[in-house]
Amino acid sequence: MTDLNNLYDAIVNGNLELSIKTTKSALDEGFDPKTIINDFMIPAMDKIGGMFEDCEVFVPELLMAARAMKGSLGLVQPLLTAKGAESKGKIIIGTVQGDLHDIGKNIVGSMLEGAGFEVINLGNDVSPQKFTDAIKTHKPQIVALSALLTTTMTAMETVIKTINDAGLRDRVKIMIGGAPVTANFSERIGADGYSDNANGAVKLARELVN
Amino acid sequence: MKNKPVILTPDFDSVKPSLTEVATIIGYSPGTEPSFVPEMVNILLEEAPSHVSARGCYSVFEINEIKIPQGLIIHDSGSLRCGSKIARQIDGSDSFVLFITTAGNSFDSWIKSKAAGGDILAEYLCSSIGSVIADKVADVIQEEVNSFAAKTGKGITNRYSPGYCSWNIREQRGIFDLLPSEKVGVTLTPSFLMKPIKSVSGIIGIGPGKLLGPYMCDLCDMTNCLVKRARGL
Repeated sequence: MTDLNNLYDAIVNGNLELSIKTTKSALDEGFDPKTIINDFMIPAMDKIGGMFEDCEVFVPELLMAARAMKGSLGLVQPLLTAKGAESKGKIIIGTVQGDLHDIGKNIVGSMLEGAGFEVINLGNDVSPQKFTDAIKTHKPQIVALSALLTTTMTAMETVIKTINDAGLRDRVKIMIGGAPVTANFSERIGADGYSDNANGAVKLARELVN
Repeated sequence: MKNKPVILTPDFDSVKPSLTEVATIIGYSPGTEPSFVPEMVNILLEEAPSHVSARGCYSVFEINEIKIPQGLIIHDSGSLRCGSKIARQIDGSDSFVLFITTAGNSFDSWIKSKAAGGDILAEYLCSSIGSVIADKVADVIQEEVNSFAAKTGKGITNRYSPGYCSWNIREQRGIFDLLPSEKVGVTLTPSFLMKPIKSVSGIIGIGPGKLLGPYMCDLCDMTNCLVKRARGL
């Protein structure tokens, strides 16, 4: 009988192959997909996320864990969807206009996918209009804005204003992130929350959709 | 040498990052990185030479006056607004060097190709390698500056960059106005972002008795910094 603690360990250790193998065995043996996710996969990501926040691990381990998590989710999620379970939520993510930094945003996107969110990555240097168009097209629960510079973080305010002006603000939660972003700034521009790291972004996204 | 720009085109070997340097910039203490990190970095470093076009330029300027409260350095070609923290570090120097370095445009394209392939970890490691390369070109410049300063019995300060230690990133324009940035292929966007992304600009003070100090995190008010995180600051 499959020991799902091996799945937990495989995700924490970023072992994609073992993660997939264990998940397959568990599903073949009839384990409940929801139990696999809620009791083993999510706690594993929470564990590695906590280790990241405590500086016990760094971005590479976090990405490897997210990759292992995604591998298993790819097997479990379709079964849940077939049973009518809703996904965690849909998130549009992008780096605001004038800023060409991609990597921080991509890391957050990857972690959010690992946490079971559907992520639509709009890229970098994204205009406010492109964000509002994407909200209309994809109907996300969350819009995530990224900026790395003090000179570009002000564009986040413009995006929020454009979303407001388009009458879409009530439809989405807005989270922001990036090195210069602070709680005060988030509050001042009318965002729903901010995070300065990838694990915090996942926690925030979970809070915002609940 | 005063005001005459110097252009550097170091070969890959002279700016090739070591595993330790890449691991450190990610946040690891020496020897604590998991084995897949050096394995992947080694593979990427083998690919890297064809994507690196490292360049650097610098010029020396004579200092007329340093106004610390205003964070202003008055020099022989105008003035440079660097903030009071940096001005205090440069104070006592009689001249300074401004520099721009880059890993090159092709390096940015290489990073993007990793992202496009969906390999976020490779993208992240490439980015870390690129940061080290741009910094190592700055190391080459710093060594050159230190060496010509030593010939006249002088020393140099640490180097500082816009965006750190309260040096407003908008003032990066002042560096680009004084250096032939086009010759190293680096441009400044309207939001004061350097293109290619893997580029560094900054200042080094030169003066009597000036010595390189230890890396001083306490000068910088960045809170979300991996170096500070790794040092538990």
